[in-house]
Amino acid sequence: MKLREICGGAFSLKFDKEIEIEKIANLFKDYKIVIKNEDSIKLSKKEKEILIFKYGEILFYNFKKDEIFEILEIIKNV
Amino acid sequence: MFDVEKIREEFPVLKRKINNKKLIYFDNAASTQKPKAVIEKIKEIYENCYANIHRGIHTLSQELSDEYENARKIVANFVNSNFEEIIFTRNTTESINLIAYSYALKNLNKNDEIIISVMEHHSNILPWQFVSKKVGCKLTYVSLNKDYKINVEEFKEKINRNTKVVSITHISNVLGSINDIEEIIKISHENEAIVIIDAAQSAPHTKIDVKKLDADFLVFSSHKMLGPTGIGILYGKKDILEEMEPFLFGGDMIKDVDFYSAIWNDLPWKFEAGTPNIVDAIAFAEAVKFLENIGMENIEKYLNELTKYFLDRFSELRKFKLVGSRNYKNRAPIFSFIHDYLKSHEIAKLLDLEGIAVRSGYHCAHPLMKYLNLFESGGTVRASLYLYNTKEEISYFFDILKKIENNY
Repeated sequence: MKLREICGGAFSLKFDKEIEIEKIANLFKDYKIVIKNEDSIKLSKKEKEILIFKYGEILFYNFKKDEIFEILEIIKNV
Repeated sequence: MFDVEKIREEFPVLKRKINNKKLIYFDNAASTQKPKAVIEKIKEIYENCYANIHRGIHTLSQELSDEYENARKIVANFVNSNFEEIIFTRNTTESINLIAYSYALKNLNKNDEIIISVMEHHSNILPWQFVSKKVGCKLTYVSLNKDYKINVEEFKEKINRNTKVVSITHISNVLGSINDIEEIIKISHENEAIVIIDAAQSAPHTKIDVKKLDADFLVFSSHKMLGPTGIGILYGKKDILEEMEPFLFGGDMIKDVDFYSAIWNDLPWKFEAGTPNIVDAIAFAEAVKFLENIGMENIEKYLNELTKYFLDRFSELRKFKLVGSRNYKNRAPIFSFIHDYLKSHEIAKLLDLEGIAVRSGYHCAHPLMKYLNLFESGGTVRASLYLYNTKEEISYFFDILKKIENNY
């Protein structure tokens, strides 16, 4: 996994292999699914948005770095 | 004759595949790719004739000194300036900082004003915030008109006899708008203000003639016009440059140094302290020669064709909104856009999966994003074209955007 902070208040978490998008999405139970297709799932909760790509990348919007690190710990164990 | 296929052969990177797809490079406003002539020049110097320049007695030093100063001549001719008015810097940012430190800090006081626009890149905002805070003078912003250009009418209202510096971009790095700089320069001079033109996006796209423009300073970067990174240009009128103190102090920028004083070198070397970026300056001249061989008028015409085609195709989209003028005559091929549901990085990522390189986010223009109410939503996607891009690439790009529309 590689975490990168990108312009526009976003973070990219990249994996070196494909990921199970449903499984990852299930970690965010209090988020609403706004887009779902075979390649990706987009979740949102108020201003926070998460886009999970099957090819192995998750984009996080409007998250603080600390929050991302907490999420990382959870994802690591999936 | 503009032969894009012949031009493309000169850019080795265009043969690359990204995610198993043919690379389509639409991130030219950030930095352009390099032709073989530039790459080979750098290699040739380091392999055959590298040495430090100026004041060396040996052959290599003298050969490379001549090449370095010849590079300056080539750049001077490119913008129709005098040799001594071209200073090599690191980039546009450093050029503006040099003006802020060496001109503005010395010449402005608390009753003065600086005018910039809301569409400026951070490199043309932060130095002026610094000067404004340091000397206590006023920093004034001019907003945009309905064509996404600097509002000249508002500028006329805001400029006054206290305005000492006007620093504006020629072409917006976000919107692609071409500003009416001739008029802004004329009005500024009528009010006895000096004008700085940020030509980082215009020098690659259009013929620049500093004498005709009559700007006091004009700045641009090599890497946005086929040259290497780490080399930029500061053009300044000779009489103003002569009055200015050096920005950096060190080797090569002096005629003589005593224990407690020094006599500065003549222009342009007064502003080039220390060993300069010799090789990249010479390679930049190769990039300029490459552009001149094609002809800036031909490049501008071709880019205008691409702009028209891009805008025509854009009107086919339903979920994407263009942020900028739809008038192809009034803009450069730098296109910002947003999607109804997806964030800019998400679009950029989906394009990358198809081999298309675009930029996403704020484009070093937070104030503009805030002005356009695009900051909270994460900015825009920006596709920026250059002379090696083709209508076929644009067509493929829109096929992918339509696919995204269907899937999201």
